[in-house]
Amino acid sequence: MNPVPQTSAHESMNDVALLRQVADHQAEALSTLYDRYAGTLLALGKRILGSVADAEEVLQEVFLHVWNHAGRYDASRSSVSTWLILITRSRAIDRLRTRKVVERTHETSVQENPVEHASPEGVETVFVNERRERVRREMVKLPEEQRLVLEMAFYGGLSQSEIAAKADLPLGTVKTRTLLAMKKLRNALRDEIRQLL
Amino acid sequence: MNDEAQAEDLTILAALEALEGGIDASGGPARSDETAEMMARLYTEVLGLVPYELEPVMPAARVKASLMARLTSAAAPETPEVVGDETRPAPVAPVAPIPVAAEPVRAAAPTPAAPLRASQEMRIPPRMAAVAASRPARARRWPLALAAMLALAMLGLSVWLYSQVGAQQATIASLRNELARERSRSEGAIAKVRQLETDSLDLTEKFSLVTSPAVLVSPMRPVERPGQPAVQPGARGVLFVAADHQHWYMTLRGLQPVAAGQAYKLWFVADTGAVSAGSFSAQPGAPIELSSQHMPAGTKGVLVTLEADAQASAPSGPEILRAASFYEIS
Repeated sequence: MNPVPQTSAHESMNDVALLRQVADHQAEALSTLYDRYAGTLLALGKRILGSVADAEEVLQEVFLHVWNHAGRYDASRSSVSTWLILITRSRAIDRLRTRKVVERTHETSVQENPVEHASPEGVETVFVNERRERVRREMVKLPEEQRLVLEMAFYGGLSQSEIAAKADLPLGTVKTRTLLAMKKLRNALRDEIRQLL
Repeated sequence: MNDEAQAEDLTILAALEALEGGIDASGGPARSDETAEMMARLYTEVLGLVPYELEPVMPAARVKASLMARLTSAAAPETPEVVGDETRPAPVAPVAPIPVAAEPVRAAAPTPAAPLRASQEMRIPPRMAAVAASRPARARRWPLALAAMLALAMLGLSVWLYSQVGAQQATIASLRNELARERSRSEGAIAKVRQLETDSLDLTEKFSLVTSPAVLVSPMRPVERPGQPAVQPGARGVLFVAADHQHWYMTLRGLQPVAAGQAYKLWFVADTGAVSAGSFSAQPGAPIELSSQHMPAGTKGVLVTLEADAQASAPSGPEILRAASFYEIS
């Protein structure tokens, strides 16, 4: 099916070029994309679902979806990284709602043993690691109340109204905090966003 | 400015709502123009960056192995066609039906005047059968030789076609690589354009701020104490504050690079005390630009200090620059 393996070429390819090859069903391209983002996506799945096993299933679903629908990716709407992250989030939130595991999420996440890290090599991976450091630095700077509403929206899949009800806050307050958090992140992560565009 | 701010807020809320609308609806607000589209894209990317705060969790090797196996099985329906087209030799089936055993008999039999009916049986006279049986073996072998020649010819043709397919595959692979390189090149150009668009958006924002009729402007000047010279007399800056007293933009020049561990910190001084607006460093000769959408309520002064600890919660280091009184451009 893929007559000419291109391992070395793939590793230096940018995400969009890789995705184009995935659309042509080149398994090696998907493998490279997997190595580049699996760690981040699995961490996201685990954060939402609270279970590595569930998150690994979601991770496989995500990459199967990418394999089958890479042609649907629209570069004008988001970067590949963001596309993958939003697919993962969506799948994980769906699974969370289906299984109604909200209550045991935090318990499980604390109980599970950390998985060993085996960082793949490559320039793109270094960029991803740098991005991680910067995002972490800026997220920590967010005031606690703003960070909380953002996390409830992103990781919990809650709407603004649901956050207001859960946190016992006026809807306007929730919106204001969310907007402030988003604007601060946009300004603070300007350079990162530029790299993604 | 209010309309723009409101539009931005709506964009953010729409981007969050779009998260619930499904994976292919990300970035979702209605796009009325390119600026709105770019704004929506920026906030979609902000959401995409959020999970990078998490410690990565590398999946077990079996997860990838299982995934790749599933990919192979998912592609299975296509495999027979592709493999068949690429590797199947040219058809040689016509060789098989040659009736080797019956041929001598049929050749020896007289041509029937009319086709045999289904109920009829072909009866060979005993004498004729005896003659046929007594013919030399050489006479019965020529169909076999013909069949063998045909088979060889077909085999040769198959080998030739197979080599042609291989050459075409190599050409296709080469062209595919070329296409990938060209795509990568064009995507690089698109990325540059996107970056320019973002820069342009930033510049537009700054331009609209500094040219706003109601903008408050304050020069940032070196701080001098009685009997003490300014720490950095060559430092200068200008602070622009929008009419809403929230959105501000500051440009600084002449700040000296700091030693390792030190950082410049920007403070907004209000009745309740100094509030940190962040830390930054300086490069020789490079201007510094700072901006934000927010300024603490009741801000009466703005201060830049040099701190030994970038996380300092109150100004403790030497004051470098201080905003002179605000005045309004009209």
